[in-house]
Amino acid sequence: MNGRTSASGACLALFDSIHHVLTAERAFKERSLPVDLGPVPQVLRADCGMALEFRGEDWEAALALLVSLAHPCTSIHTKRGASYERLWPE
Amino acid sequence: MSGGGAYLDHAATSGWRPASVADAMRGALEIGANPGRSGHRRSLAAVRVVAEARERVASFIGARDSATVAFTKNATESINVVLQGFLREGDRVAAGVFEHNAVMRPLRHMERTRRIEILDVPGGADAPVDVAALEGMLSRAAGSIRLVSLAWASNVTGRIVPVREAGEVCRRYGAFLLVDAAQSAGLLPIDVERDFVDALAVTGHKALHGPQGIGALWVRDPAAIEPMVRGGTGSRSDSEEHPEFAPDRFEAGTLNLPGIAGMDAGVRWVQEQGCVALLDRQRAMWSALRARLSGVPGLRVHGDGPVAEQLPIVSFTLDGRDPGEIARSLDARGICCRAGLQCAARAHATLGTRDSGGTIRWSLGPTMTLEEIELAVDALEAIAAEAP
Repeated sequence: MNGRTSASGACLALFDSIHHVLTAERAFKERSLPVDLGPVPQVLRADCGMALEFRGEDWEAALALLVSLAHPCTSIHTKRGASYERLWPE
Repeated sequence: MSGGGAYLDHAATSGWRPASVADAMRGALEIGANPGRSGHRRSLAAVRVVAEARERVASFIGARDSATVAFTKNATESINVVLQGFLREGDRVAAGVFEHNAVMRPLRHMERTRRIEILDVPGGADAPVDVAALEGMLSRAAGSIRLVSLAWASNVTGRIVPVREAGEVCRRYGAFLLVDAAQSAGLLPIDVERDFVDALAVTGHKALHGPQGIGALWVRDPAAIEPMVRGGTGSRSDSEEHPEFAPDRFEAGTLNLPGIAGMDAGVRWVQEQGCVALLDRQRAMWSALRARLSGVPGLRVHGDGPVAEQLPIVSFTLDGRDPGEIARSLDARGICCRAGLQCAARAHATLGTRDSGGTIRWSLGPTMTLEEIELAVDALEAIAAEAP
């Protein structure tokens, strides 16, 4: 995947479909990984969808989970000031 | 049934629904938001209703990936999505001899517009599908039959088709198996993996006891089916191209949230009761009914089989009498049933009843009592004794 073991601040995982977001959310909860859902920031995608938010300190476990799903996330970002940095894929 | 009558039309739509169905529908309406269209909490609450229902339907039919379940308005729409989205110009299709018009009408349309060839799955009134003959047919076709369509159970006779055996044969010869489970879902356990099904159509309002106007489609490989309707999905809104991923691929436009919530409650009720227990009880009623009907002078039952191969449906005629007139007389005595061809001309052609007005169909449900059966048969006997 990549060499990162953690990320600072909250991470946002984006998916193709809200159905995939909710499937991922359930997987996080089953593994007791803290998770939240919120609107996709418009600077990331001109969309009306939802993103999955997780803690940067859970990066390793979260990334392993996110890429193993039947419908994996398409990208992961974190907020840097007024913009977003893409963490995955690098 | 209140009012001293009997409802014997559960194959048309369930005459009874658990209270949880209306409660769930009311709850969905009270959310007051569009599922998956906005980022606010009410929209999220709405989409959670959809997600929960999708997971439940997936587990109910044995689907590994709930994204392969799409909500439709009924089994007919689900069937149309598959037939119109899968079949190409000149394809060969084999259809069961008891198929509903939900299958036959789109196929006949494509016979004209796409020049598909429609073959009969070997079978007849006594054995709806001859699996050995089907294997011979697929073997001789050498891969040229792309799709086989089977109703899991006839809506006219209730006779169950051996889907797993037929599915195993279809899989071996590379034919796509579409199964219409409109009548059977809620009574026969479904496992799409075990049963070699490639696409499954269900409706919410029959033996799943949900509301009308909601159904579901499961497809093994969504990419193999072109969507029938394209439009807004709440995903990839920046693109004017319809998304290719499921379930969005098959769910353009705002979903029927109250219907989905109601269907979910119906499926949950069926899961709590258990398909086997529900069917066992209704088969006991069917056996009692069948025994009483055998004593009615001039009555002929069409296409039924051993109780282990039956849904709780019986189709019959009275010698020399118009089925529609019999049904009208029954209605006057508080007995609700359906007469005629039941949207299944092909099934009646197989039974030999197509050109004689069809049959009178009695179909049972979960609240049926022996008293209602006695009442209905007493009424039928009285009508039979009257001069035509």
